[in-house]
Amino acid sequence: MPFKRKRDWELPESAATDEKTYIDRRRILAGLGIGGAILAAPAVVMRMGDDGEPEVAAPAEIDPSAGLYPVQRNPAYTVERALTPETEAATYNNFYEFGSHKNIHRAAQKLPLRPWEVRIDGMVEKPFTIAFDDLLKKMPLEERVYRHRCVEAWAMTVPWSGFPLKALVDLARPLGSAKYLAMETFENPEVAPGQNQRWYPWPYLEGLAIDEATNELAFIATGLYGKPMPKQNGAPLRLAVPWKYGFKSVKSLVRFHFAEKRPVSFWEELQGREYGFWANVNPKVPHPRWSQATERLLGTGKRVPTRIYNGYGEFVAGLYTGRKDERLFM
Amino acid sequence: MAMRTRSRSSRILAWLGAALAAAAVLALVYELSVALQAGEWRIVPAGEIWFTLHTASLNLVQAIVQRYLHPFLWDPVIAGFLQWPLWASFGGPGIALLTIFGSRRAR
Repeated sequence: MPFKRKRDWELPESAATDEKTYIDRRRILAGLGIGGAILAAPAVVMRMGDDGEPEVAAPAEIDPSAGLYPVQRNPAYTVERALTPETEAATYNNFYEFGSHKNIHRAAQKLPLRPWEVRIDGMVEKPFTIAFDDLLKKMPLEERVYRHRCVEAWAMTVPWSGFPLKALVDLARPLGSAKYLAMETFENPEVAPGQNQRWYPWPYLEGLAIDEATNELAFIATGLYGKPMPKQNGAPLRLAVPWKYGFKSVKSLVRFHFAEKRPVSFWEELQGREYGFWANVNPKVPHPRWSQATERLLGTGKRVPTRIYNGYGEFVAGLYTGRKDERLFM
Repeated sequence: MAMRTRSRSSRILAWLGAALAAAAVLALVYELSVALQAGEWRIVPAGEIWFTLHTASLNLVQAIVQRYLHPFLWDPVIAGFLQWPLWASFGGPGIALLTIFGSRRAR
């Protein structure tokens, strides 16, 4: 009796797509709106995790702002280093609300991004709340390639999309007496398990002096690699201040508060001796438990010397000439 | 010989029970002082006491457990334990150890 062994890839005739559907597949997809949605959705970067499960590196849901990206790169802000591979930047993250581990890119997928509102208050002419998508429409979007230096001595080089923080400050119309800008992350313990540890001073808060906030380098990033910001990287909007250690670049912002008095930032309240308010990058000032002289580049693993102000001294060194008594590098 | 070894381990466990019970009493005193200051009673989680006493070590232990052991071990296991009041977290096991091994030591 002849014996036919079925191969793994063989499918029954009934499983084949009929010819008409195959020929019309693009029209059908367009009719369902799926084609547009796929194009508009932020890319889902998949790779296999250690446990064999796919790691979702970017949000799979449709982002209403997806059509805005990519935006034009501003050539004034490029660096000599090669870009970090996108999968590395999107899977090696710190986001304390979701924990201290390096699987944040999975945990952060629970964060809902719409509706998302931003409150602007404190010492401003008129406090207001604005929907994130409305804010985007008012801001001049551009792309900037920045170095990012984490206090843990790793670094990456990524193209942020977004707008200068100064544009938001101008929109806010702060009073002349406002000396500092505090920025707050969302607070939602139902999706961010770290916030169930109520003893921490949630929400995560960071601050800048007004002259730092209006420095041309200070940037509000809303996208990454020409797409909307992945959740684990701080969607939908985050700060990017590349001359400071990464923990200053507060993520998933919901509030900008202008104040006369310097705010106490989250890490400053926790361990001010290790993570101070200013936190400017300086290879000569070690962290109490490790050196800051070099940094490990994500992607290559190569270790390179760290530069003062992370290489941005020409933009920002002048901000600190009158602040010699402060702990500028801690 | 085996009897002596068991006896020594029982004694250690009894001491551990006593230490836990003593810590539980201290935690209860702390909670009472917080209540007196605030003018109202509220349960103080173990994590809050650790945070107040030594924030740096709490933060460091979390990072070590989540990064080098397993995220699950911190949350929900240890983080869940830290949500409990310290007097209950320590008092329960402390009294249990004292009851089991303390009495055996007396025999």
